[in-house]
Amino acid sequence: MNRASVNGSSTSTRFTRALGVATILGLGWLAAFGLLISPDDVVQGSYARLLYIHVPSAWLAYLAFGVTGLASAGYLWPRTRNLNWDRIAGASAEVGVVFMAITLVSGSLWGKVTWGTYWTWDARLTTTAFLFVTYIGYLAVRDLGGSHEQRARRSGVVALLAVLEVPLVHFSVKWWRPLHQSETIERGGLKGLMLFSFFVGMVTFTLLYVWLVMHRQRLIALNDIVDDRGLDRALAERRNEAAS
Amino acid sequence: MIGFRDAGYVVASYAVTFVGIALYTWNLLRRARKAAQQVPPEDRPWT
Repeated sequence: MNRASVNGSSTSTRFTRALGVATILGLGWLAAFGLLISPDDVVQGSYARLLYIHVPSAWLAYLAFGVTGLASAGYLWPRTRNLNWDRIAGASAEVGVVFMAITLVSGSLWGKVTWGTYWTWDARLTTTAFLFVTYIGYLAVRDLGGSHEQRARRSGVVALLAVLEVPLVHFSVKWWRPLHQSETIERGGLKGLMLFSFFVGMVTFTLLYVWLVMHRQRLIALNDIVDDRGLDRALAERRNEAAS
Repeated sequence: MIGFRDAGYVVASYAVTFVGIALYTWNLLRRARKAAQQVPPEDRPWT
């Protein structure tokens, strides 16, 4: 990549800037379709508009945690071992936690108007909250210290265990038949403008996810470089002290 | 168009989502800018 395409004081490149612009336009479209253009649902009325942010954010959280699991496997597998996998895993997990938080808050508001309560300990909500806390734990494990390789090994194992929770959350509505409704989209419950608005949400959140992960993994790479330089400097100072 | 009677929870949900994304993005780019100042462009892995 040529120097002109790199921003001197950030993690941006031409590609991420173009992606960022597309994401902002998508968010504008999502707000327009979600709040203004999309029709009300026959059963849920205007509250169905929450679906356009709630479901895409949940799916993006699943995707993010899946990518964290795959990237961790990429690091732990000896033939593909590279710290870039670990950086992608860490970046994707953090962005996934943000999407999961959005899922929980939007779901809680939706629950208030449809069930009359912000929270209930049904299977879907409980497993989702557990998944959220698990990945906060994963991020805490990444910050425990040690070398970059130790961080990658330690958090890679945690990620491979944590990702097993994702199917548990997704299929909880089938296995336990809780208060939370089953899959609206898979049952063909959306049509016309409502379906289109839903896809605007999915595409926009996917663009946002890619953009955020690219910036976040570059930030981890920068922090690793700064850490290595600090360590090199400290070692050089110790050698000078020993020599003098 | 969303009805006035139902607007509160729907608009609140969109507001929390968009403000949450904006705050996280702002914080991420601020940290990235700070870190990038310590590493010359030629040493950045993606350049």
